[in-house]
Amino acid sequence: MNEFAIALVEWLLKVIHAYLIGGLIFSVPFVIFGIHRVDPNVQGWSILFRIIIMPGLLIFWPLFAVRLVRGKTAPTERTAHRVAAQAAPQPAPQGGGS
Amino acid sequence: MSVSYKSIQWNRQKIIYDLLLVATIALYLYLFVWSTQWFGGADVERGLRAIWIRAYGSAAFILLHVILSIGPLTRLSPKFYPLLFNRRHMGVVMFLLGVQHARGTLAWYHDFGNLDPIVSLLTGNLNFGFIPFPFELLGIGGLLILGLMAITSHDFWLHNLTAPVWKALHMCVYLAYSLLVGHVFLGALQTNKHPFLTIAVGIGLVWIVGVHFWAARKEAGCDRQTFLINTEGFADIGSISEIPENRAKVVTLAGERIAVFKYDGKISAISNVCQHQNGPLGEGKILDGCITCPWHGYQYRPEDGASPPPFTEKVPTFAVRLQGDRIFLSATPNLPGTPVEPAVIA
Repeated sequence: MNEFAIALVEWLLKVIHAYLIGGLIFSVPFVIFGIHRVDPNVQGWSILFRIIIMPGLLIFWPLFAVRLVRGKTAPTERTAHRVAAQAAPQPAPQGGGS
Repeated sequence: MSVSYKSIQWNRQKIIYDLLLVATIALYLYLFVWSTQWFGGADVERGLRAIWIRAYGSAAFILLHVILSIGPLTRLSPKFYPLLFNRRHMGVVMFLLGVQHARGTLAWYHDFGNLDPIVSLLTGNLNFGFIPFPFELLGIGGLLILGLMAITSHDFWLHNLTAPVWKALHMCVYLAYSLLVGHVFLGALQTNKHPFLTIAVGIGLVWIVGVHFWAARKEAGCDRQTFLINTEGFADIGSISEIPENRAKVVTLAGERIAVFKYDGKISAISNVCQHQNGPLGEGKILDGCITCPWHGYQYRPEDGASPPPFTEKVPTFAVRLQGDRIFLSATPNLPGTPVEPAVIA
């Protein structure tokens, strides 16, 4: 057995473990009290919904922590047309013709 | 659509789909275990638990091939859309099968020493030559990616990560597939004398690469079209007669595809990219006065690219003009949800 490899893997697993524990400490109160503030589409108090998103929150919790602190919601997606539309001067609605 | 999230979006079709999926997997697992015991071989000598480990692993790997085939098959024929409708449930089931395979492996091969089973798995073989390559590490990498996809499969994640980021994350399935091909191929070379598994993996790889290449060739035809833009910023994209009623012609302008719909004696154009999973709106049709995405049924009004209330999705719109039978399309998108009066067919 490679002692260095074992020590390195054990240390990495502890780091991951600590990150997930941090995620759990943040996520449990977040799904109960804070989630409505970062995503208005979360309505009601479905427990199953909260359980389903919990594993992802354990991974992505820093993203939601930042949004919660800054008072932000999810950004609008960026596609080529959305970017071009924002950059272009917007004409008045145009009539069709034949 | 994004008014409020549901825990699991089950309807009658999806329940039937899921029941068929679970029944097929259960039948496969039973037949695998039964036939392995019946025909004998190395697995029987290792015991029933070793057979179950391979049953779960092979079921997950075959299901991954099915999942990867659905996307390109829908590009080739709309008949495959019903399979796409509930693909996320299939992906979660595949991940759970992979977890069962990994749990069995940890318990069977790595739970008898002083080390933690995961540490044992990660450090047990560090010989990075061709054989015996630590193929287990490839399997762990693939499973972690599939896990990340499974836990972000709910629409909550699609909305909060945004569709392009979510799609990019889920495109990592191809990296997971590559790792798992290596995992199965190298694992089979080390543990099986019979070439059947190696040949089967090769056939699966050729099928996946082939069907993607076939679909990509078809798609590339649409994106290769070029249009001349006149001094007013409009491009002649074809004739009215090319477009069937309540359907669209898809053209590429302004760096992305545009869906030009004909309906009720009018022509309207919106960005082809559905706000939910970026599905191809131009392959959908007009239902109840709304453009309906063929992937999951999200709807947009053709006149302003907005979902009917209470839904809130919006896509960019484009001005359209007609000159005789020719359709002229603005190359400049309007902001999502901007009303544009449809061009009326004389």
